[in-house]
Amino acid sequence: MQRLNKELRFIGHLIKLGLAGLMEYRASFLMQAVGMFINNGVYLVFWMLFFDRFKDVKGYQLEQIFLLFGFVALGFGIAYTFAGNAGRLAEFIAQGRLDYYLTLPRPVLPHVLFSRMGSFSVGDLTFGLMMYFFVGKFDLLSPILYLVCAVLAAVIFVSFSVITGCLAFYFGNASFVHMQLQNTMITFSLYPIGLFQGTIRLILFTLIPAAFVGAVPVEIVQTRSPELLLGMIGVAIFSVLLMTFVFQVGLRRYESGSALHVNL
Amino acid sequence: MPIITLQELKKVFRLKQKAPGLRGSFRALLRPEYQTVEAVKGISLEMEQGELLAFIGPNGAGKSTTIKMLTGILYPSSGEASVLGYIPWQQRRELSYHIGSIFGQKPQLWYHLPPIDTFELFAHLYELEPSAFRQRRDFLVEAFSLEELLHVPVRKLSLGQRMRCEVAASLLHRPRILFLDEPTIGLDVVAKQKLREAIKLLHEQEKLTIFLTSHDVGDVEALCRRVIVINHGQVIFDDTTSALKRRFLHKKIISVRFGQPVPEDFSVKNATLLKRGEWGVKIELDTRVRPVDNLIQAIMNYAPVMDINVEDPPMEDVIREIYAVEETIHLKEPVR
Amino acid sequence: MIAETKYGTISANFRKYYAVVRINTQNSLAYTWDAVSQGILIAIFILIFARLWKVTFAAQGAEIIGDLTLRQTIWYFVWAEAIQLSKMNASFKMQEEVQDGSLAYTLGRPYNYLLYHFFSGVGEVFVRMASTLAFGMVIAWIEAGTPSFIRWETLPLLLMVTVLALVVDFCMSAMIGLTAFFFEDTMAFRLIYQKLLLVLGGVLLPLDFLPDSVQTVARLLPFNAVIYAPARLFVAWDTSQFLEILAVQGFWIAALGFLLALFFRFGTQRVSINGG
Repeated sequence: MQRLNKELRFIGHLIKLGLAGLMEYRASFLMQAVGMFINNGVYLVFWMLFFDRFKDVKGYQLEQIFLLFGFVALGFGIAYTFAGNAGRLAEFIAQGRLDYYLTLPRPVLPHVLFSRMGSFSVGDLTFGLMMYFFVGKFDLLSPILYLVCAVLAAVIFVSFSVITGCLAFYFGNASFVHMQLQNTMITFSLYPIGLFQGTIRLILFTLIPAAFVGAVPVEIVQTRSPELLLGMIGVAIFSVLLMTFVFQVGLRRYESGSALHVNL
Repeated sequence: MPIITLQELKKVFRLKQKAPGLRGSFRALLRPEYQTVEAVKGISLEMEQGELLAFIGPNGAGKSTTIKMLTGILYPSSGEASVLGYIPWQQRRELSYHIGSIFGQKPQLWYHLPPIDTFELFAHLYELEPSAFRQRRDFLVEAFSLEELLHVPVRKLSLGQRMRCEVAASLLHRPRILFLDEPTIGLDVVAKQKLREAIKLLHEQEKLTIFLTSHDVGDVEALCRRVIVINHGQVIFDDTTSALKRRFLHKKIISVRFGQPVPEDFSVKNATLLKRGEWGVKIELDTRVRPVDNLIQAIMNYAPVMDINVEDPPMEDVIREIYAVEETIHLKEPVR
Repeated sequence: MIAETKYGTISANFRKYYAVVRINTQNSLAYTWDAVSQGILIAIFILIFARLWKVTFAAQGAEIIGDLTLRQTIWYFVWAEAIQLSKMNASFKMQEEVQDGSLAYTLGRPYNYLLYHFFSGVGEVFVRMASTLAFGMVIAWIEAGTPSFIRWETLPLLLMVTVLALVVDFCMSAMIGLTAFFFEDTMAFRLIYQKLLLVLGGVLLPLDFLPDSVQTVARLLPFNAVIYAPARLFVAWDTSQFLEILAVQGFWIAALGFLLALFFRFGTQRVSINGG
């Protein structure tokens, strides 16, 4: 427990440093945040126009869509604002940039993940919070539930990113696949889950867990089902364990970018 | 009792082969072909507490791969190693409290923040007591003369200044061994000299064990008593620096620019004239035949000198010479 | 060949720009991965849109919404997304060239700066268009079945409209890039343009599905000439509409082209005054 406490304090320190780094570039940071805001906003406009003409999509109406966007944006925002390096893990592995973390006496994975703050995702974070003011309920429990679900979604975002990033241990330059898979997950997560049946639905609950960052949290907030929440917590814990395992196994194959420099 | 031992340490990389063009890309995707490269082919060595060892060789010889296995970054393909009693790749975290490492091409300072911030981060990393940290920091700031640099964002520092901060940062936790991988790469003469002096001071004051890789012969001459030369992943020389100098580093290249034109019949005694230009000459000198100062004296007496430069032969030449000696005495063992 | 070249003749000009197209086509062939990535992207989009509209058509119990059948709607997205994902990104390149001063340098070369950019973009577009169409069609075929309504013999005319659509896009995109003469960062303009295309241009849904008031506005703006017009022709050929689209595109190219040329002249004068 004391160990864990120490690690958490250390991560807190990293985040403080990251913020300081971010503030060095205030203007472009603000610009990016605003850009992301517009980016997300236009999809909402699309859905408003859509529901102006059509009534519902598999049980989703504008309210659910807003909730869905809120969760994905907030989950993604939390994930990449704090664990800013999650999206760049494949790149780190391929270029041998884990060396630094490997020589220091801290758990490598959290140290890597939290060593940078993602400026662009701050926009998503605020967007996600704002969505709550449109569709959220203002009793005691609802906001807490909303936040808890968003944090769980963030955990799943980070785990998925790490696990796919670990492909770089095996294939070298996997940053392309890494990015592609993350985009796929986000794209699917932004549509009502009812659209997908059969194999695709199965994939969205397993290999590309898009359902857990959007549709499931929406369901939890709407039904207030404790079982569903417990299930979601279970999935988050499992994905963290899986991520840790995959990373540790992959680390044995880490090449530190040396293979690139071997003269033939 | 050695604090570092390596036994038959090996590292093999698999490289994917790809034919050029679109078709090649697809073929590589479906049926990848690999080529294995032995970056380190079985290295064995021992190192004692307080030694200052140079591990040198040309680019791609396996220096960095070895140092990365010793610091726990890379898993070896086979072989054994022990550093301070730990197996680096298995007990990486325990080991990391007792060693410091610098990889010349991979900075550890936060780019947009001043060095002091990274120092404080390191204090957290290594769980240093605040008072002990401050004392240590002040000592290192003095030793590496960092007073002026401490509060300047790293991106505004020169490479030499940055490197001194890097070394200081990795000494904050009082490591017992310092691994330095190409610390002087890209530095100018003055910056190299400053860095070497600081490292030497630390070595002498704290009996710090230093494992240094370089492809610069100058680093070795300035710092180390013992030197190991590796090439193609194998140790080809392991002895004192003076032995290396005596046997292989006896050549110097001297370039001179005179204040007057060089006559056509210009010649040097006991040295080879490599090149003669209108205003200057290039001379290769064997220091066993004629000492450097003797030749320079003669040059100064000969005519007014505008510029003079004494260089070591490049690493590649030294290695070629080691191989030549190896062949003449038919040694399979490293030259001793 | 070189001996025959007369400077400034039409054929010499044509050869010059043809060479630009070819080298850029080859260049982007090297980026196999880029093409594949665009292909995967379009596959995902077509899949999702196919599902969305299947569900929506079923919920409405309708055969036809806004003059389009379900099949037509799904195939509409193939062409719309192919243009959206393949079109050139002139604004970003131009912004960079304005800012790092390399524009002043290219001005001295013996070609028209704007034409050069257009043709160097076209090369890339060909490759990306081929790959996105291939991927998109496969998914659409699986999801919606054979597109019996597509009049393949009109394909050359459709391609013509598509190329003109790219010209309209280029004019707007280049203008955004050139705002770098006056503003430090053009990202905001670029973003807004992209997003207008999504909704008012017909990337996310055919204009026919928009509420009437929004639809009227959207049809008056140039954005629909980039995506909606060619994609709509693809799934519902209509000769009179084709001619109408040509006229509209012609109008926008003339108007925007004129503005762009003005913009360019004004901007480059600033460059020569400020010395790049």
